[in-house]
Amino acid sequence: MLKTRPLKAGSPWRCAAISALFGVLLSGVAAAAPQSTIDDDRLEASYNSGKDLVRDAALDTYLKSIVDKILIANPGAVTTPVRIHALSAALPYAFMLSNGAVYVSTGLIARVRTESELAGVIASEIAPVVRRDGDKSTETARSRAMRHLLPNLLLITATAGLAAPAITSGDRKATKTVDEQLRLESDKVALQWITAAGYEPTEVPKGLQHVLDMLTAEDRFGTTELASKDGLSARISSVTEALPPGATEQTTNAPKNDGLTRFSRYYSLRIAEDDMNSSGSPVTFHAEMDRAEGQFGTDGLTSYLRANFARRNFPDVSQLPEVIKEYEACITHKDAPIVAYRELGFLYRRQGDMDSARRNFKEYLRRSPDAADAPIINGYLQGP
Amino acid sequence: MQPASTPRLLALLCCVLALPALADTKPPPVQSEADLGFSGDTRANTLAHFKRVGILPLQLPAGFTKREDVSAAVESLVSDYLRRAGFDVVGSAGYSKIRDELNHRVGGVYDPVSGNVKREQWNAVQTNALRESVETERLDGFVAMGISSRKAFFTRDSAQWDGVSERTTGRLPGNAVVEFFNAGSNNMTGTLPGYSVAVEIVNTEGKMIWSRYGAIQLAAYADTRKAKGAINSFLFVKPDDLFKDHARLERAVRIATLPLVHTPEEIAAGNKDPLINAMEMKSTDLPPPPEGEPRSADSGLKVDRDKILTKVHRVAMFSIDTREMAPPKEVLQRYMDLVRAELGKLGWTVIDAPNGRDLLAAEYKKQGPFFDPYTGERDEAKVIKLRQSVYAGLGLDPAPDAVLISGFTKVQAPHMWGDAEWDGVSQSGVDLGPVRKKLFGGSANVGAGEGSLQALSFYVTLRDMQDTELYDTRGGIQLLQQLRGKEKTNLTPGEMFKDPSRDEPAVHAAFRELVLTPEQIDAELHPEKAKAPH
Repeated sequence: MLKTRPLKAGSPWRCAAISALFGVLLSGVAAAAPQSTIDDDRLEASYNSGKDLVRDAALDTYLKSIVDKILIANPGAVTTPVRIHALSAALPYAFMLSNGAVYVSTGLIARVRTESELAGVIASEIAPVVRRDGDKSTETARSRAMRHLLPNLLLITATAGLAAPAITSGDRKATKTVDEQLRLESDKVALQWITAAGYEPTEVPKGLQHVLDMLTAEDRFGTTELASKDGLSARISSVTEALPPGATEQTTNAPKNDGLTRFSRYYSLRIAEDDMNSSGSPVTFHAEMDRAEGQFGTDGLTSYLRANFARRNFPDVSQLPEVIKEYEACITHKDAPIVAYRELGFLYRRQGDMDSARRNFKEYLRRSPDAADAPIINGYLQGP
Repeated sequence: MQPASTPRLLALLCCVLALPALADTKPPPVQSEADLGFSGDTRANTLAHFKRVGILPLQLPAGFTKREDVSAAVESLVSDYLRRAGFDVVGSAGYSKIRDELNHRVGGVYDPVSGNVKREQWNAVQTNALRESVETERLDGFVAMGISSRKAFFTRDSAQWDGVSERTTGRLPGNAVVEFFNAGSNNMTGTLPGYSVAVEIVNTEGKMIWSRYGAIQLAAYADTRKAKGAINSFLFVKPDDLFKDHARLERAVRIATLPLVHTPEEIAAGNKDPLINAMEMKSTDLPPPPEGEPRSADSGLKVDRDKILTKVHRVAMFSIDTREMAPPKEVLQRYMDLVRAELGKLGWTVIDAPNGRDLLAAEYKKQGPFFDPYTGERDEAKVIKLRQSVYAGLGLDPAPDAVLISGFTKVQAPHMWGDAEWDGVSQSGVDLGPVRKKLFGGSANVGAGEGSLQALSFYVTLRDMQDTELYDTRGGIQLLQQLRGKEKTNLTPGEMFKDPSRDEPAVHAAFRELVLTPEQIDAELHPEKAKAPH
């Protein structure tokens, strides 16, 4: 009969050695602690009261409509109540908490071109949570750790610990393979869901490729799955493999993108503006503006942002004419922001062209007589 | 011969010991321009384009905004170092004059009703003051300066941040023997609050081109001779004693402006020169830093306790302020009852004045505004007059001797290893249970590090009918954040006020100084003293 002997207190070194050994051997077991749902409830409360939450009822309604379409077309597929919100961030990401809260970043909304692409990304975040991929991965790791406990123990003992790194690395690889397989299965489910909802599944890998291309052009990557080169490449491979056999692009009943276009354009320009105000690099700014103008066309706002960027970055007075040219181009658009006239006034004044300065100041005040700075601009008009 | 070989052996030993020092003579790698703070352009371009710069007024941290001595000293030092770097420098007076004129032209940048900044007017004034300065003074750009609170990382007796090393003890080193024993007993690591000066160059359109910090001084010390590692045993420098040391201000500005005065190559080559690498300065090269003292919680008693007890017997209690945190009705009622119970210990009569808060708000609206639109300062005399009229108009007969205003407020609770202490109470930030000070099985968790957590407190303010503040303090209720490792998670609204056993200590902590004598407080807070043999 096997007898167990409790560890004696007072042998700290032995305890430490055994802890270290079991730390390697039972790493999979330790990881099996279930994630507390209270943490997800707290996270959701934090996100929903945080400064990054996008408080845009129209956008919330639009995102909810996508989720609703998926859920209605796949009754019973998702039992947890799902709610979706956007978080303000320049980089693309999407995630779902285990309690049913889904978040997408404005950086993702800005970079997707069709509703099918966005629906695909959202569905492929919901599917792994519904299928409990996290729990399955942990359970598999735990089973593997228990199965290999004795051989690994012998191996580590025989090699005086030298085999520990190899065992850890092997575990990591095995976990990665399991996770990739689970991800693929979930992607298959997600694509089935969006197909049933009338979306075009072939657009999903194309959309992710587009996001990767955009981030490359902007020379801006992050560390999350949808913001990193490796993460996006892995997602593209998985979603491509998950497409139903022989799937080709249908031109179709996929929803029109009018709703998305409005939000995508707005958040593209917001990101560009934020970058400009926080001293973003010219490469990033111009790539963002090229994308926005290529996708949505040039208008008063895009011209204004480009003119503003030029103004903020001109190093000396010799470049004033170039900047003035950009603002003059901006005000040819009917939807040019009113402040473009004020900026032109200041630029002309700085150049010494007082007539042009006064003309633009007057135009600014005519269009915006109650502006906060109207008393100041009026003062300039009354002065010499 | 033995004696002859001894000097040779000694020489060899000296050579061996000197080897690390010789190896250390290699200069450190040249830092990149980005590392030296150039973000908007190269160093060469920055120095070429920004020949004439206007200094903007020093931005001081909250609580120090009236310290004109510091503003003048820092501006003078920054101007001096910028001139050494070849800039033509224009002082901040011209900009300030333009800004004040524009402030009046837009009718003030503060909302006279709330005292809040009117963002659009503020931006209009700042932007146009900059533009006018550029045109009037023919500037190529601006130099913005500020003093910021920073974290100084320390190990044992050395804290390092923003280019300096300061002794964590706040004392000059003693003799070698004392230092040896002190070092042996000091294993503390962590962060201490410090202050640094920040200097930035911005172009005429407000884009930052270059910025850098230079450390000034520590705002608190960790002295193992006095502090034993508990969170409240750091020694804090009195605010009035900060920023008075010209040598440290000079050092801070020198560090901040170093990349403007010297090339990256010169900075690397001067690694051993204390004038270039301030880490090489010895503690004795500078005056002793100001002394620190343990932070005793500010007393809630604003006048003598005896005077309050003589003067006050009848108190009007306004409804509890729930603007920052609104608990369920039954919790509110519990707090009202607890307040009555505490004040009942003094034999006071507590009368409900539930409309007091609304009356005050209505009168504020009617008699306002109270804020100067140009400076944002409140007209305190007018506010006092208003309050007096509201207290008198409460319609209570007989009239009360004082009014009690109370409510819930969010505060920051400092924690060490997860054990948080604030406003007279404590709680574990790790498991949200009570703090358990035990060597084994205690609530402290080294992995939680140190810092602060958001917490909820109950505030009480007692004012007499002339609006003189008699008593004002808080009692801690519960933490609003929990630690997961070092990460903080916010509790959900459903997790607030779940533990009624925390309410009574909170209200008691808020009233402790009022209802107990100093001797009773001492006995309550230090029960071990009563057990100790005399």
